[in-house]
Amino acid sequence: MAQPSSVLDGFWLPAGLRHLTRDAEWEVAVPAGRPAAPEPGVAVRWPRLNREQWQRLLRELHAARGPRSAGLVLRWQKALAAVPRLLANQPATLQAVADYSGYPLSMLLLAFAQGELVRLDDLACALGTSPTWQAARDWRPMLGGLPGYLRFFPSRAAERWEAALRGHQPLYRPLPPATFALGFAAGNVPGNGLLAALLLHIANHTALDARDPLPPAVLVRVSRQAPLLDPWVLTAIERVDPELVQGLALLVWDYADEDLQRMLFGQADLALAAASDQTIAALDAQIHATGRPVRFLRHGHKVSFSAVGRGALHDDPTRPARLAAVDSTLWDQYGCLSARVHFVEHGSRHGVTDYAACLRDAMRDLARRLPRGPAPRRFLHQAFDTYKQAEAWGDVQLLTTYDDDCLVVVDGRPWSREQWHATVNRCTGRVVVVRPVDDLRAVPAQYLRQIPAANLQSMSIAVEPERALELTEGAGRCGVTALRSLGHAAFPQLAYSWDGLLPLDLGNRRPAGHFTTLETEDPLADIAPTLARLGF
Amino acid sequence: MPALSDFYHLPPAERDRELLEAIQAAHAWHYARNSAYRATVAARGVGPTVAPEQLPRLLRVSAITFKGYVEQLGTPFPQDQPQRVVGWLADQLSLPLPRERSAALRRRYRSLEALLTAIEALYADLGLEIVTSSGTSGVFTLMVRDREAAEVATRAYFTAIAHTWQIGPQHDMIFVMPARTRVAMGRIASIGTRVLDWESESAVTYTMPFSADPDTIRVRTGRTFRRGLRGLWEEQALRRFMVWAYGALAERKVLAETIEALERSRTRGHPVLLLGGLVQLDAIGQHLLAHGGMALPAGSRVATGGGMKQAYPRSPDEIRADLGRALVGIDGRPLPVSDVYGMAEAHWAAFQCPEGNYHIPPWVYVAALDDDDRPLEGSDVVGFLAFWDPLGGGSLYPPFFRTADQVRLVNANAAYDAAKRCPCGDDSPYLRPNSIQRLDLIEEAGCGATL
Repeated sequence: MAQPSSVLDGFWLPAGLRHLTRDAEWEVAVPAGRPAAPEPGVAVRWPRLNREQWQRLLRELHAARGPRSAGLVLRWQKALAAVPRLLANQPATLQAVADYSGYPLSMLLLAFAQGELVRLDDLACALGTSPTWQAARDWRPMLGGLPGYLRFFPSRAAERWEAALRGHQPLYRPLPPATFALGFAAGNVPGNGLLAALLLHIANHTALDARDPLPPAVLVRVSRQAPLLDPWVLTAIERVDPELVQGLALLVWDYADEDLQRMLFGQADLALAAASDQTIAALDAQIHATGRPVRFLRHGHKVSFSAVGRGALHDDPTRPARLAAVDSTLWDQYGCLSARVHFVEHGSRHGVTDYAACLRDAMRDLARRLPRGPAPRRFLHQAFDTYKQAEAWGDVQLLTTYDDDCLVVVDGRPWSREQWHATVNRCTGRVVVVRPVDDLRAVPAQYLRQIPAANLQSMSIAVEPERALELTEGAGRCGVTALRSLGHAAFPQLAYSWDGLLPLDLGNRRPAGHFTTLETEDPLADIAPTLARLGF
Repeated sequence: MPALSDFYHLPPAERDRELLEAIQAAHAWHYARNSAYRATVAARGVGPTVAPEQLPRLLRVSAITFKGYVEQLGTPFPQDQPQRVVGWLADQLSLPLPRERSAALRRRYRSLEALLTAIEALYADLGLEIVTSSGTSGVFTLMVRDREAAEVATRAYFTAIAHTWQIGPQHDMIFVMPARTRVAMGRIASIGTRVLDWESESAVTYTMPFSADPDTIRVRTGRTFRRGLRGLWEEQALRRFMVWAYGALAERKVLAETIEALERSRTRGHPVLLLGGLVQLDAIGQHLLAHGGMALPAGSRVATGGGMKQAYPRSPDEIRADLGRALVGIDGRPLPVSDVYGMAEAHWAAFQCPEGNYHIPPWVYVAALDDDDRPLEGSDVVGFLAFWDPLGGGSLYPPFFRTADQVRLVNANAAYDAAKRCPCGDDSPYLRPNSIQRLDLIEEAGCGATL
């Protein structure tokens, strides 16, 4: 195996706690997942603490909790705003993030240049108001005067009746402040650990009765596959506002270390996991074993889709297609937000095949500008072979070639449940199935309903404003938790629903169920500004 | 073209030359006759003739090829659409299958076994038999063999086993598997001993006293059930009964029959080849250990195969170590316990040599591919095993496959390094022990779900 040329820190401790690693053992890792030996490049290290070192870390992390600040969310916003300037003169580090995660630098730059993921002023606005039981009966304007709508779908029938009786009463009730919050950020999309740390840190400030609360101590387990970006950004934030991050720690440890997990969950009162369903089930069992009431916010594995209405295809079909291509290209379509199947409505001046051809051109263009990351081409090839065989049976039209770095196919066959599920599973690694439909209103009943509600996440939509809420209603009832405009799939707003949870869920309790939010008032009107923002 | 056994004596460069010629000829033959293959490779830019650098473009994935009926028919239950199954099969085969005969099939069949039997009867004049994979995924690989393919495969398997393990008609064969099964590995054992007429000279015993038809395996595996009430019956009643019956009745019977067969061979002084899955052999090993073990005649050996297909508390190495203690030679030394690596879609198997390496038969051309389907260069590489078997693969479908098994492959064709020749003396390509890993699921690289 080639020797790495540099070893970077894949963990983060505030300056006041870094002395804790002085006597620690270290684990060093190089990019994994490929059978071939990696190229010479970056390696990452993190400390392997013993029990005594862990206990000391937790003690000191608790002692460092802070800051007690009413404007904590905006303080984060201010600190994050300064980060790009600080990081701009460290191109080598960004290149290291790219080398280690496998994603090309151009993709990281495109994703992070958007910055909308951390629009914390919107989040602060949304926290100023709280939904009432009315949200369980009807669509309500988005909290804090933000664009879009919100609705709550209770899990239990009894709560649907309750909604009728309790109209204007608040849906949420505040929880006692958390003292120690644990995060688990899996996967190889950089930034997940930072997001988890930020959300957990502001948790107490989301409580409806919050009065300058002290934030919890926050410990996040970052992924071995993408541990570099988060420490890098936190180090930059520390230079701007050291007090803000003095109670945060990002480390790598093993989920399977039952003793350690017992010790951590034995002290935590809040946990958040963005991980696989299996990992979440394992964490659930570990929490259960402690017998303690740990509040656990679960973000499991999900699937997302696109819906393009006939209104979006009246004029230039390349415009929606270019945005839809971004939604299915970023992070090689491995993310839960990545659009897999694109439902496209018949009946416009430009047909479904026109859209698919534009999508193919756009995805080819993106493949040149944002080359494939770690996604193996073998799955792309297997999808190609599958659809090439299916073409002979009719109603399938492949628009890309075996050697393309993406796949676009129009599949108009009647699908059984097995074929529908196989299609969804196949759409990763830049594989898009364009599905012609007569009317997008049929999508929830015909397709979404056949997927477990717990696996549904978001839809990128391009429909007229008067149709958007109807589509959102149908999708939300099936379990979809967020609808946003085309080109926004990878840039969800923190103020809106993430997997059915609002930021208020961090510090409050409510009846079981999920929120669905529509992040826009007019998806079609968003197309031009989104194209401009992305530089297309 | 040399006989299969002659390949063991050909220098590597000459072997490669012969195989490349055979691959080119096999490709041309199948390209002209097999519509599914032609459509697949033509879409990759391959015509009727193929250049050596295009070899990776001939490879198909067996799941797409032989489980493709699920995608085409929209159901894992082909018995619901017999006519369309014949249409799908006809596309996959390199022989002109008279499709019009499918009109004689019923509109649907009660079981997959019934459908496969009906298709075999329909095309009895062609000598077709349909074999399956072990079905542990809940969906069966369906492959067709004709007489010629069965004979070629038999010759290939038994040439390799004779070369590597010196197994021949002097051995009593004890297969811990059912006598009647469609599972490819079991079927080749049964056909092979019959074709080679070993049964006339030695005892051939199958010690699983029940049939293993695909429907029974599907229900017992518990991953795919019919819809509706029937599925409920299968899942809640039939499967529970099967699991109970296997544990309460069959396991004991398998054990008793295997011990009895071993005793018979011991008494007669015949060397034995005991072949079975790890879990079944472990039960036998533990029983023998508890009863003081058993000494078998010289030349006897134990062979394991199929890997670990279920959660099991003991590792393969532990099982093999115990088997070596339980079964000894007349000199009191542990019997050799070796493993076989094979797959339903291959007409070959790699047998472990005394060094523990799995030797690919020298008439099979192999390479390791990277994650992007490109061949890895080097004489000792880790990648996905790909094989081209132009001589032992039969003529019903092009035997060029990329497997889902990640392996460490040494001395692949076109990458032979004399310094890396296996210490056992065999200079065929080989897989290093404990390097075979099934990777057919999308790695969890992100938060996107797999349904």
